[in-house]
Amino acid sequence: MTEQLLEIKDLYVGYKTYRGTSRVLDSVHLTVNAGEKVGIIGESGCGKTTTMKTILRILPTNAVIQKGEIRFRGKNVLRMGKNELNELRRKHIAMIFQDPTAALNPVFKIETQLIDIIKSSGEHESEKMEEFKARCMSLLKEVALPDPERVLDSYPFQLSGGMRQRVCIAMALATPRYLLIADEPTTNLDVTIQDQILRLIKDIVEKRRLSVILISHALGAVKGFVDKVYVMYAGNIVEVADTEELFSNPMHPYTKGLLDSTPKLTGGGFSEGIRGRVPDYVNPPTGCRFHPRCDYILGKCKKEKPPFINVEGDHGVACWLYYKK
Amino acid sequence: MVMGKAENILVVKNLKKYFKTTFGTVKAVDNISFNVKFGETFGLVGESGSGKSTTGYLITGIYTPTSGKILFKGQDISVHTLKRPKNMKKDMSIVFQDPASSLNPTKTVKDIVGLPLKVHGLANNSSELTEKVAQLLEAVELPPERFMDRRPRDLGGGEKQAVAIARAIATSPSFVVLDEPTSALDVSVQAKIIKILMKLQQKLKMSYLFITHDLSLMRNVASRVAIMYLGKIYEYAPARLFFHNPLHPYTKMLLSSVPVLTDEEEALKPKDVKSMGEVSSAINPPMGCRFHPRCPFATKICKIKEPGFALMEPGHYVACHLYTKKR
Amino acid sequence: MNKTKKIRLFKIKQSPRWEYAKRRWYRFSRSPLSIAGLVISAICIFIGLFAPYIVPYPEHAGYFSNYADAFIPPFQNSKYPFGTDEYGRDILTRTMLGFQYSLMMAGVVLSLVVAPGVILGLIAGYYKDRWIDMVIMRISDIFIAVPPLVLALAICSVLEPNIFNAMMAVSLMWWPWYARLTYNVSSAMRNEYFVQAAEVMGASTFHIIFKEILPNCLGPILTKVTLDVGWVILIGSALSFVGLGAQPPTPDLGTMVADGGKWMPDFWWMSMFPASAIAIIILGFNLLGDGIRDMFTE
Repeated sequence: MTEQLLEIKDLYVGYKTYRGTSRVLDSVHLTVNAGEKVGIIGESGCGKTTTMKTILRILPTNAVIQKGEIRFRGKNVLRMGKNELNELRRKHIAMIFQDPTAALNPVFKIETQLIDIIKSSGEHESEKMEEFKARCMSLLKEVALPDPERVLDSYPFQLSGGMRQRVCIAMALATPRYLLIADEPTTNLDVTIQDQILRLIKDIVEKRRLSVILISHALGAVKGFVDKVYVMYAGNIVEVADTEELFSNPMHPYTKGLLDSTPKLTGGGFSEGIRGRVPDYVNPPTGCRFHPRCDYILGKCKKEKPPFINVEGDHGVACWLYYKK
Repeated sequence: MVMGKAENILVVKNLKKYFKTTFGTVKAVDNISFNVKFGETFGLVGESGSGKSTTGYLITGIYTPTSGKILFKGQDISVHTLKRPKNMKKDMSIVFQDPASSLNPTKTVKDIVGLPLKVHGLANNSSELTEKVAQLLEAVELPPERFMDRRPRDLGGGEKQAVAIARAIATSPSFVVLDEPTSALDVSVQAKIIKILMKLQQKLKMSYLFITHDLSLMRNVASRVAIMYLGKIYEYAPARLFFHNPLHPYTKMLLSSVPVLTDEEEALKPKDVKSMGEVSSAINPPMGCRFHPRCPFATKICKIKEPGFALMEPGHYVACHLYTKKR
Repeated sequence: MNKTKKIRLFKIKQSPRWEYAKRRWYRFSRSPLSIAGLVISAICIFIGLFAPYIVPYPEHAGYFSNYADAFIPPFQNSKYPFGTDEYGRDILTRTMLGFQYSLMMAGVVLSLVVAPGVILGLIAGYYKDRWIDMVIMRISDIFIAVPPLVLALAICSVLEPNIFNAMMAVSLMWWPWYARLTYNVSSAMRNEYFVQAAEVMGASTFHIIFKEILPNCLGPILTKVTLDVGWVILIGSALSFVGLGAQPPTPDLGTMVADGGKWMPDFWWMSMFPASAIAIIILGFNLLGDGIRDMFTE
């Protein structure tokens, strides 16, 4: 029986704006089991980063958590006090961000930043400098950085994008964690480097048996990596399935639209995309949030929001097309 | 590679662009030559540091070439844009990679799209200008009533890029440089924008120089493709041959790294080369063939001598020592 | 067909602009301090504009003496709420009139200085790293390097010390700051894609500098103008304080502080009220400046 590591239940999050409070996350649910690799696919503005930031409680000041709970190893993150949160961020969950340049402090050497992280986890306080250095070296070797000595002694601007992201991965893994959240870790990198970094993350994750949440809008990157995929649109989870199942048998019109819009290496053209644009979160569409853009719309879709139901085994979808009493 | 002049809208010959910096000379574009035929979409593929964007900027005159020639419809335009004749400028335009900074945040869509019309005197009065801008917005599928007076910050990425495209085609140019026009966009928006670009190309009979690092996208838009690495072109081919029969090791490496969704695509990816290493610095590029430090097939000659082009199949040229012997 | 389209477009035109104005106001009004700044600045400007018509004793502005009423302390009676000075002149009246001189100085200096400074900064920024950039920015560096008061002293000692020359002196040392501010913004903007696009399509240099780049500089410039009102008044008052600006009996705030200084600490109100007035004007415009900066920040 696999242990449930993270469970997001019925989460509603919004932001205060000059026109009123927006309702971005609209009953988001997500589970990650120990050792599981989960992917979240969604386009910009769908709320995936908001969800991740809510898990670590690093939302901006104008964000409002309206409802819901996030249980990490049984405890509700949304009700955690300062000490518990610090423990969560320093020891339990690690995050890799999209832009490695922005994630590293430009005025400190890599060595200083790595040691800082190791120290802040609180477990190795009594160690001496040489021991810290040795630890850093082995971390950098683990992320396949050539010439780790030079990298440790460098500033971020002296490294390439791919190297910076490897350093960020090393920082995320500096201390043992339960969960790794990777928010578009390779989007800003070259294609050949993307491939290397994803393979690296996959190796490390498998070796250490970490759970991972991989967020991406590049469907292909997610496919080769995760066991289970969540598809997100406008703050809703619209479809969940095992990876193979999702890509071979997409159910939700949005998922289908995404897959059809992806250009294929074999040629043959691709669809015209999905008409419309991401909804206004201050006045979101009634009923199903996707209905203004959907080609398969039923009368019900405008009035009532479809519940999320399991259609076949673990394949679930939130769409009236698949709802059978 | 010399073709009949009347066929080519753009001819680039031995183009070089070197930047002098405090760290040394960056050889961003180092002796490249290619042609773009009338009405075709010529694709330029490469990763960061390859010089593909720099090539686009050289062609549109944002940079001045260090040496070499650029011939547009037979006319030599190898100078900075500020020195080019004004009437030539309405015939060529560019769409940039980042939709956010390609539009002036203090201007409305009407001002932005109307500017080229004003500059070239294509609208005699304000109502004619509004009318023409409305037509252009409709051509890029942005309803004019809703978008005419908006500022860029209210537009989504795809909409901004559509405005940039409307601006680029305002003067009905015959050639447009598209520098990674959809890299910053989501996949569903990308599909829309590409369809708009293809539709416009048909309607206005334009030729495109399409620059991107996304090979799957390139497969579906370009008719001929060239791949660049550290300032040099290493392979040219018609699109089908480029993807089904890649010859250069770098081409193979790039193709093998593309994330794909279907099994047919997976089968198309070369299996003999896996991505390794990082792009070297363009300040001191490796001697000989610039790809040799990352190439699994590198031999002694690759480290000393730069490879020349070999014609392997009709239209398919490759610069690699593996093939120059087998001619 | 064209006409109906035109009417349709015209009607919709109304809404987005109003929308943008509303949003800007929202960003400004989010901070209560900005509103406070707006109110204070508005009151100061009102007093500055209408002082001669609303002061209780307009004749106290110039030479006047009423020794019977001299040295009356403040808050004693409603006749002289802020007290009187050594000549029996009402401090409240003179302070309010002082607003007029101070704001006039700010108004004159800034109108002389902003346009040339901004234009030079725009040109230097657009032609960055060319000779014209070097010339303009090094000249402005020279003016910045000289301590302001020293420069003003030098100018005013050569010319006759009066408020007009004080304004000229302050203007001469103020323009480089606008040149520098605009230079920073415009040289960064110069390499943005939208400027490149304008060049590629053949727009004239005049258009690019003044219609593409300049609108993007307005935020920082406007913020600085607002903050500068306070600074110019302060420097102007400092000049008057050392006797180089407005001369007695002109009710300039700095002059009044200087004159009252002789009588400190016994007759403290003669310096205190003009000094507080200076502080309030500066505070009001600073808070307003913060609000304007917020207005232009997304």
